[in-house]
Amino acid sequence: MINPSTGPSSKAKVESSQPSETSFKRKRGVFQKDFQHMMYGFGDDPNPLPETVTLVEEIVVEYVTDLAHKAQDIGSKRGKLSVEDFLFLIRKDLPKPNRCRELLSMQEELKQAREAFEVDEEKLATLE
Amino acid sequence: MSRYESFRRSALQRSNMRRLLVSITGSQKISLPMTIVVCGIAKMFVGELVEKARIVMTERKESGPIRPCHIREAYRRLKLEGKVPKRSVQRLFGPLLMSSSFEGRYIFTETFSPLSKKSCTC
Repeated sequence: MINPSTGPSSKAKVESSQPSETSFKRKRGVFQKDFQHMMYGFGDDPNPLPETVTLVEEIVVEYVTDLAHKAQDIGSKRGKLSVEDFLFLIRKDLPKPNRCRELLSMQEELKQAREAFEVDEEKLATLE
Repeated sequence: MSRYESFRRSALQRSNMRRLLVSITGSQKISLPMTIVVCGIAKMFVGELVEKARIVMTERKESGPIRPCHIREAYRRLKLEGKVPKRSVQRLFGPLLMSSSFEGRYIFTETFSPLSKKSCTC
């Protein structure tokens, strides 16, 4: 009987360069600081309880894992995994696809702005 | 005001999310848009959890910081609403199931999940 080490394992906050062949190892506390600020923003106390943050992290990691596995199943039929697979999975959950479209278009805008900025710098360099 | 600031600025680190996605999918080809989208989805999910937990707290007429039992109840309600993807096979044994030596699929209940506590012990 294989014992998955997903129990309360060590809170390894160190960014290890371990290869991910043993995907059972859960590095706890990876997102802890982010989650603390996020939970306060969404309505929790300014200092959320550590056990609450840990539980939220577990739930979210499980959520992302299930989502990614389903996306992989969908994506494998089409070839490789792509963003569309994720977007397809959340299509029904109303605010999420809208937000994702917003994020993607913002990312495009920022990318183009950065490229335009670099082109201008080159022009200035060649003028002088 | 600082709560709004936290709400707007808080985000999950993309590098950590990318690492998580790589370890889940086993593939190195995780594009930047994918990481951004999953971070956004995760943040909204946290929002749903926290808001539902606050609703649970007002129903129980409790106050103060959110406790794990509230989050568990919120998670349970979100599952009932269908907002959480269901796992039909316990993916912890994913690599084992993929190997050809297994003939059937084992359906596990959530016996290993820390979320299966039924009573509020806090």
